[in-house]
Amino acid sequence: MQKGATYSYEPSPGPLWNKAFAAALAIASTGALAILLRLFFGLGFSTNLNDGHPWGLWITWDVLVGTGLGCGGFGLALLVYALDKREFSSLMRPAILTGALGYSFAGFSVILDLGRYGNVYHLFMPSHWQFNSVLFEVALCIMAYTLILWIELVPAMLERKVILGYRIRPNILERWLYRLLFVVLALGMLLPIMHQSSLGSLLIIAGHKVHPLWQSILFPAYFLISAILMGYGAVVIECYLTSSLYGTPFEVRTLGRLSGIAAWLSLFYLFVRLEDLTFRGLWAEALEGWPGMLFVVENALYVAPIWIVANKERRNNAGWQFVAAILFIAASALYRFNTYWFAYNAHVPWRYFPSFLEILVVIGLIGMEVVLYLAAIHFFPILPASRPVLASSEK
Amino acid sequence: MRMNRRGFLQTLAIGGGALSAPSFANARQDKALSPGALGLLYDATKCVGCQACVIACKEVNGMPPEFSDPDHLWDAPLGLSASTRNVIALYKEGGRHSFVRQSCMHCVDPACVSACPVKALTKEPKTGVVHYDAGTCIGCRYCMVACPFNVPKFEWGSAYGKIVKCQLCDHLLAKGEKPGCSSACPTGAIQFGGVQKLLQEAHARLKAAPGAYYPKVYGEKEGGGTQVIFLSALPFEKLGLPDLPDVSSATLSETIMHTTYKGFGMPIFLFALFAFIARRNLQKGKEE
Amino acid sequence: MATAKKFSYNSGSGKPLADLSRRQFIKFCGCVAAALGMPASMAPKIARAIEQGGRLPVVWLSFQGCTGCTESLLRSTHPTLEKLIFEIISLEYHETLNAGAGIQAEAALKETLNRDAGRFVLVAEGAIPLADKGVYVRINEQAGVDLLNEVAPKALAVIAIGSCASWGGIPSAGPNPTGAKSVGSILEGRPVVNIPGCPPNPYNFLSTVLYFATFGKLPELDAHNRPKFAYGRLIHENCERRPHFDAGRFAKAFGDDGHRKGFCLYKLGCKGPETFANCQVVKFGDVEASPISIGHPCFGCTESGVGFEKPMFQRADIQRFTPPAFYPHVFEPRGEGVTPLTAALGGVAFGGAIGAGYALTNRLFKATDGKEGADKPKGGGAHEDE
Repeated sequence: MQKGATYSYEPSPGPLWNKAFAAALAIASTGALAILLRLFFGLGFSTNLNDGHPWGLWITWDVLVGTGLGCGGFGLALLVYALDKREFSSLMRPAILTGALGYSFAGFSVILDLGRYGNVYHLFMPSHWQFNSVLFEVALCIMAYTLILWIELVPAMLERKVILGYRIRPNILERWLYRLLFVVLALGMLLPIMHQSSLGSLLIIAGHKVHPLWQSILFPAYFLISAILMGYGAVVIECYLTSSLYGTPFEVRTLGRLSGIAAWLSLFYLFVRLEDLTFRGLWAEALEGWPGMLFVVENALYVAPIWIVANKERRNNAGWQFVAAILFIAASALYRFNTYWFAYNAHVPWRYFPSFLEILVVIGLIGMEVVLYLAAIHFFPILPASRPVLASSEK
Repeated sequence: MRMNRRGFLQTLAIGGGALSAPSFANARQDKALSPGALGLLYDATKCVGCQACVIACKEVNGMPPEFSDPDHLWDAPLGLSASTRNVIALYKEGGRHSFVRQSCMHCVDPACVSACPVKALTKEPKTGVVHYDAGTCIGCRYCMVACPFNVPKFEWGSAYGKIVKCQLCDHLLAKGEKPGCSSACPTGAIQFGGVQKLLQEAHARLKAAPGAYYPKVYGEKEGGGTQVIFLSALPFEKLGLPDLPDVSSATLSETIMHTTYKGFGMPIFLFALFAFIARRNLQKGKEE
Repeated sequence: MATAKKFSYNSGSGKPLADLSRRQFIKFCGCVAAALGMPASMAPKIARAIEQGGRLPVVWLSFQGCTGCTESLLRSTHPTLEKLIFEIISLEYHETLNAGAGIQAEAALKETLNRDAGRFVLVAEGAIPLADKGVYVRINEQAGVDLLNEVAPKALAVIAIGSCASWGGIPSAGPNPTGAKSVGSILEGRPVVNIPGCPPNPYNFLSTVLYFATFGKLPELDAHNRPKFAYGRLIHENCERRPHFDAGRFAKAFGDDGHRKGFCLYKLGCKGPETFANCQVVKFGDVEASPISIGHPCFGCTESGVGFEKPMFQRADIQRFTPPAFYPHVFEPRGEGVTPLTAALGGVAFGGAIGAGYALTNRLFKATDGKEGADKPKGGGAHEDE
């Protein structure tokens, strides 16, 4: 990432226009149409959101899972810059790009979800600031972090030298950016800790409306850990996806080490979560009815990847790593879905299942993210180069 | 570097501890009832289900009818909604039945006010009326998530909807009139007045006819207290009123928020730490 | 508006008021006060107005109508017609009730117009046809519209009685071949009190006239110039069948079980929910009956755009919705659940993700098969490595 980085990056090989890109573009256009319908006819027309489930698929998927998946950059930054685990730095740029896209689209879908989006500028007006509101903290923090993520991508863009026919002179900008890079990096580590934990704190005020198996004062800790786990999962999946799409090398050993860290983290998570339940004497409820089943499935999804990664052979096998990554994401995603949707009950029985358009918007946003991701890795040096080369020898 | 890492892990552990288990030294107390607080006393044993309050509420607030039958014959809301701020529901079990009025409880320490990120929901300091300002609202609907009684409702039918909830007819209060529902009530089941007086009245009724009532004034303590209080012959949970702890959920949420972010100390500390370490490691990378 | 009380109405050919017994007279005034929504204490004031002011001269012109309004007036029993026209008002000209006919009658009209100019009340019955220069109504070689334009300027007040005069009524119903118009639209710029109804309730007419005589001004009118005391509320709001509506008990066909039991006639097309009139309070023909009472849906005669315009059995547009006589349950389930369509789309998306994950996993397993731990470049499929 910086001048002295061991790894260098290069734009993705092959043409931009391929089957995957075309498919993503088609899905994205359908989604854009659905978004227009929402803007013209309102939330009641386009979604099944209701007074009992004011937050639905868009919040659970786009914001909770979307930013969770975007936390790969955050998790890696902790490893690379805070713990000085240089071997992971080759994964940085793709992870940061996924993060930037994930966070930007989370922000975009929040705008779509806002009933009175025209007033959103109130979040920036000190006269309207409400420091007691967890959501206020989350909103500003997520916006700040999205900005940081894009700034972290600037070096990748500057390496390109010519953008849209304009030759840029990056010297001054580059110098300042590198000089202040540590500030950006520090913010890039701090902000996710703040808002990912606060995404959990958001639900504390909902009190009895979140099922006791989930409602906990430890919400911030659970959400922070699940964010890091999803981030690692996303890094692994993304590495294998782009590698197999462009034929770049697998980073099996590096990712194996990453999976090991994730497994330790989820072990810690499980320990705290179950201890929390014991402490509050909720074991009887844990196995009761529909919420009990969700609880068991959710935690089984955490146990499974730990089992996979525990074995050294499996840990260093691309296939098993991939399965473990999917399970880490599935577990954390289910946890987040449970807290905000499945185990959220407005006391009075309200049914909620996303509407056709609601699902279409979500699929469309994924399509848009893929389109932008493919375009970004095509135009900018984001993916690690095929062979590890020293930056200096390239120049 | 070893030292660094260990130091980092230690601070992370401390930070994580503070994050997840706030010391209640910073705990804020539930807000107290304002002496001039206004509210309603709903006595379910006096309610005959005439729904005059429903009509009156719609009239004084200019609310549209809401249909739930295929022929659209009646203004028949199934509960509170963007077009219904006050509704009478029926609980029936065996031979017993009771009506119950649903509307904003005007909590003493409202979760919605604590949740709103832009101060669109405010609690009037004197009367304690929880007021909503559509011009400020961004439509995030966090108030709906936060409210323990599921009172704030969103105008789903509109392309640019707003939140709708009872505001104790504050436009009538300003003119010295009573809220529409209590003016319309023919049996005195909805009584308007100062909350302190209403609480006295409620307890007097409990004392006068102990057999007729479930022995509790709902809203005296529930969720940190509400300015709309209830009397009933049946247990309140059966009437859809949740069994809440005596502490407002806003108190818990804000305690955690303010413990974590007190004076922005922890974020600044973490930032300084990260910045220091990142800078060192960047320098080292350059040297290599 | 000029006050009527300033004029003395002792002229004309009527008998003196004394012929009506004092008791009967006050009772009548009480009825009028009640119809006007005024306390009984107003009755003496109304009586005094009639006694002191004398009788109000009334000129009644008939245009494009069926004379049903007159017939309705003829059938009022307290007071009876003769008492009304001889003792309470002074009916100067009325084509149906005139003693004389032809030249004699026209002469009486001319005389009244001269003698009582600016003091008499003009009551117009029937619509005014304008097509073909108004030839569809001719009285004394004069088109109806010309007669109206001649008489109306000299009148103190104009009352349009019946639906035809008030808003066109039957003659104006599509395709309106005679170009029938309401009296109010002909006399634009001057207040015309409409007493619609087919036929109108005579008490609404009498109450208006006596209000005018008592207070020297017209009663409060609604947006359609109808006296609010009579047309201020929907028939639906005072209907004796209303409890059946609220409870959802409807007659669904004439003669069915619900119809026999006196259930609500809404689903038979009753226009009560969109028709403003006091039929259910004042009733008709002094027998405490109204169309709805006897099992026929209201057809909205007092309401422009409803009577003679909407099909008889078409359901009314409810003007004011109120809660029914039943309640939502405390735990009323609401919200939209899964539908086949959303389940399918969600299933396709979820299944697609699972399928893609499975396929990719398989490829990765194959690619690393037996080469665990190798950090070598490996194309997942048919990719060319450099």
